[in-house]
Amino acid sequence: MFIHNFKYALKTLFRDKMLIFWTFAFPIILGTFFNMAFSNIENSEKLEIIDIAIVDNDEFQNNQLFKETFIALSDEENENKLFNIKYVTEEEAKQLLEKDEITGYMILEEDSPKIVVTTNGIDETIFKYAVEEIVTNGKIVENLMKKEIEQGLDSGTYNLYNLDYGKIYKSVLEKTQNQEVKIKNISNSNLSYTMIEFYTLIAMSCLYGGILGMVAINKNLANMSSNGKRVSVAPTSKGNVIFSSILASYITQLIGLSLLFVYTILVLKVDYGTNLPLIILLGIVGSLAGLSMGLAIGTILKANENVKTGIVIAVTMLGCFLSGMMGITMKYIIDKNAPIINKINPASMITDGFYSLYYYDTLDRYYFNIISLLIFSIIMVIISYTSLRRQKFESL
Amino acid sequence: MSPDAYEIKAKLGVVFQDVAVFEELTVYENIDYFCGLYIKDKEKRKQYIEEAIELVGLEEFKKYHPKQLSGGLLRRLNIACGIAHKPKLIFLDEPTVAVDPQSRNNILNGIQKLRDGGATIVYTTHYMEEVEIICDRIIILDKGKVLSTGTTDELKELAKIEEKVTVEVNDLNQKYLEAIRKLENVDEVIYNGNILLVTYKKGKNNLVELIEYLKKENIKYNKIYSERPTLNDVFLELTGKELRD
Repeated sequence: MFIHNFKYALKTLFRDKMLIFWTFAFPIILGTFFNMAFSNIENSEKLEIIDIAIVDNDEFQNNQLFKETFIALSDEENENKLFNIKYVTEEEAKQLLEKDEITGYMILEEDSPKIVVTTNGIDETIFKYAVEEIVTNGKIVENLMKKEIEQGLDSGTYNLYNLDYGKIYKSVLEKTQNQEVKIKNISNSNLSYTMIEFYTLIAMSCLYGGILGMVAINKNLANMSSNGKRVSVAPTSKGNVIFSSILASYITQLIGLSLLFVYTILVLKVDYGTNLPLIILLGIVGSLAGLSMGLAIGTILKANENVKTGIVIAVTMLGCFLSGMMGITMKYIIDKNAPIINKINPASMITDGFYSLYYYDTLDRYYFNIISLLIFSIIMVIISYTSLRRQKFESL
Repeated sequence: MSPDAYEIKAKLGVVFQDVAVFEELTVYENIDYFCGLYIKDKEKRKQYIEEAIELVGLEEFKKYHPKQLSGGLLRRLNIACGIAHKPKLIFLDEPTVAVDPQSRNNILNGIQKLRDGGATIVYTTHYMEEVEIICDRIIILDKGKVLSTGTTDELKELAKIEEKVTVEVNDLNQKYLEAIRKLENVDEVIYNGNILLVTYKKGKNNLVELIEYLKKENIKYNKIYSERPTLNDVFLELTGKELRD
């Protein structure tokens, strides 16, 4: 019975032209437009260097990582130069910002950076991401130093009572430069904000799985469709029929997502990074979140299928908009002013997962997003299950 | 009946008023899908599907999708999906609504075959002539209440009229109509266009008396016939003639 229903659920999904358009064709078409539109913008903006200021206080002077990195990022000989930096006092930095001579300034307080900007734009976002990246790399260097010290003590290279931290730091940095340890270079070429657009595109594709989930539910519920009435009078368990339909929807969704990945990688030459298993895992979990969201909308709302489809599309597009699909600035604005929205927005979780996988070498943020998506999915499934359990029909 | 009363459900077949088929599947696949919810054995299912297709006369349309079918063919597919698994008790909810006469005839023949094959059929309809053709026992329901039950003859006996005479006649004036109303046993006289309808409370040979009157008054008529009250008359009499929502 399970296989019988699963087979026909797959057939109906693959032959539904509207579904195929939204889940297969639309993301590919949108991706193509993104590629045409944003690649030109990025190319034209690549040469622009951002004016910033850094408050040259004791904390900054004592923080080798920030000092060295900003020197590298403002080096005239660096073809990927990102910033023009003025090292000033906090008062001077404020004045420069007021006069609009700089995009923003950074001040280190108790080793944690504070960024001050007056507007939200691409330059401000790049500045913010660069600083975030330095913080992340700093943690990596810190861990490497710990390891270096442990190994040095074990091998007798270092003496516990006479540690030369400058030497150790230099040794670690040399290792990173020799690529024994991978730390990403923060430069214009790596801070491609169009990548965010493609991440949100993948997020959108994952969440469009919600349409498939909603359709799967609709076709099996007696109060939603005529076919559902027929299914409900058959001697088959509702759970069996619904689960096999959902599985078929999920597989259809994953096939659509795979096509989008293949198209963006091979045709649009999008670089999602090198960690393929984790990229696939994020796609699978993201699709699960989309599917479960569709199930919840399908079971809770008492409306026809077209209305529900419209709601799934609207929710997805809103989520993607807030996570930066129509401009990366939005992601920054939400992160800064209402971070809770991105914490509960599955599109943002997926986008941020890809982002962290691409830019960070630690996986903490990636796994945080994976777990967030799983929790979101579980909540949606519980809502759907509770709603389904309550449904009994006196008459059909 | 609880949702998991599978043994009982396996013996039921329901044909809903709304056509319930998958637009994405062909005629054969639709029947196979719904039949498969009851019959696991593939070979047996295949045989049942072929029989259902033959019963509703869709042999030439097996590979058609529902969108390619006419309203009548779609209704026949709807029936095939509901009865392919050979249920013992079949509920048919107005299966002939908005279908052409040929399809209606095919559907009624199919239902009679199912009945002859041993199935019990609960048939819901507003078409009384269909009831007279296929039903052994009838329940007249109005606003959820049972008004009357019985066979066709038993119900017809409930009618207050015993005979209806229809005459095709031109230019009948009010004077003649009043005179006909005063004839023995006449219940109601309706003259609409060139059709005169006279209903009688009693008797089965009122036709002769009416013909004699028409001859006496030298009124020419084209056609005249007598009939017993139909189920439609009974239905209208029991449920009232006022229009419903």
